[in-house]
Amino acid sequence: MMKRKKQVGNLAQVVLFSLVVAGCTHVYKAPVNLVKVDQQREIIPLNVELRLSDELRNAKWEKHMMGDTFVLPLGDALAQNAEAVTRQVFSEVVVTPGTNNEATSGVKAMITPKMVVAEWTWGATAFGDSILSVILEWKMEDLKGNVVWIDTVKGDGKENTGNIFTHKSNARKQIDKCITDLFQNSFQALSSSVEIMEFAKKGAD
Amino acid sequence: MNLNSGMKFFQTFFGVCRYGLFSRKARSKLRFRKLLVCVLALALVFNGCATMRLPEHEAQSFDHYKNAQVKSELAVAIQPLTDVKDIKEYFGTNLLSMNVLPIFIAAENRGSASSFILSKDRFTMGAAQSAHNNLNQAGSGRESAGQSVAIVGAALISMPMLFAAMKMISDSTVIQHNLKVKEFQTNTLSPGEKVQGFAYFQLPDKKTRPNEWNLHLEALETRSKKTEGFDFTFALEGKGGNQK
Repeated sequence: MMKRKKQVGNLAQVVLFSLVVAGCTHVYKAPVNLVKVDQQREIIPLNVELRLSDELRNAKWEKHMMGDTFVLPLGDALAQNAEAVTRQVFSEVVVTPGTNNEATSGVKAMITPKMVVAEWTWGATAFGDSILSVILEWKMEDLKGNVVWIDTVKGDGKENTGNIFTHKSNARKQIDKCITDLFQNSFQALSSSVEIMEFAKKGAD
Repeated sequence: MNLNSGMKFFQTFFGVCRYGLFSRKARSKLRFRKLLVCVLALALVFNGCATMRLPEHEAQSFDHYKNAQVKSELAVAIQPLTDVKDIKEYFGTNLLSMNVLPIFIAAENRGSASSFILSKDRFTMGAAQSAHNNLNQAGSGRESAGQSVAIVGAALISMPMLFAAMKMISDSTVIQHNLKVKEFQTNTLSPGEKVQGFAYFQLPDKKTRPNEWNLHLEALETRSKKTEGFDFTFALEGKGGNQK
């Protein structure tokens, strides 16, 4: 009887130890709400192919720290907003995964967004600032593959790091802010590009 | 006799204690001291545990830079950061000790018609004698900068040290974020536009490192598809910067 009790005790210790030592994976959720763009701009009369690669659709921020893994999947939010913003800038948009080198027939240019940076800082205390930054590269090529325009756009989201109870909700607000900022800036960059407007004018002639 | 003197001693002792601890004057003094200690402790905690902040590296006017060139109305200037004090101020860690050299690059399109693409993939750095040999391509020493701090923190697990480790993790995320956000990104420079940022180069070991370096940058004019090359020669003082 005593021996059995001891065995159960040992087993409980092993289970407890492995629970303490084993790393956890913390997954944050990025909202996939489409970003609203307030500015009223003239739509650029150009038929473009938007290439949303698997690399972009699977984009994420990931950090390994003290045995734990923190993951923020960004792919869906980036892909859906990239399409929404492109549709607000150009008259016609065809979405492809960009696996074919050749352009879709009828389009005049290809646009490829690519995530180049996703970094997240954590405050030293619950009141410390936490900043999430995502940098997206937008590239427009003509049908021969010449780069017409390329730009990198940054989006930031800042909030308090939060404590054990508020961290997740603060993080959600922060991710939302970052994605909104990123795609409002992207809209601005695409719609005000001199090079794109010139190219569209040439293509229309 | 002994009992009496003992009783007297206790009476005096308790009297003094009561007066010392509970008189109005003493209580207000004690309250003030307690408050002072609390304020000092909070100041220490907030100062020591505040989230790290790193300043922006502001671009100067082009005349300020030793290494500046203008070609086809495109002005480009570079500033290698070789002073450890400056590097620590802007990056929060000594990148040179990890053989990473940050070079600040600023460009301005002074033209009214042409646009240029400054692609970071076309930046190369090599020993000054063999300028275009692309000896040391743009390296990626960036990851290690923040992570090296985190590794130190991860090894410490006792409670007060865990708190210290958390601070280090916070610092490492700030350092890493700052490095990436300040990095020069590929951009199209429309007429009148300016861009700036850091390019990070992985240097060879100190023993085999030459002192004179050449940085080669290329800009593509979007209309004519003509490439403009910019070459800057500079010295790493004391074979690896000013290691103060």
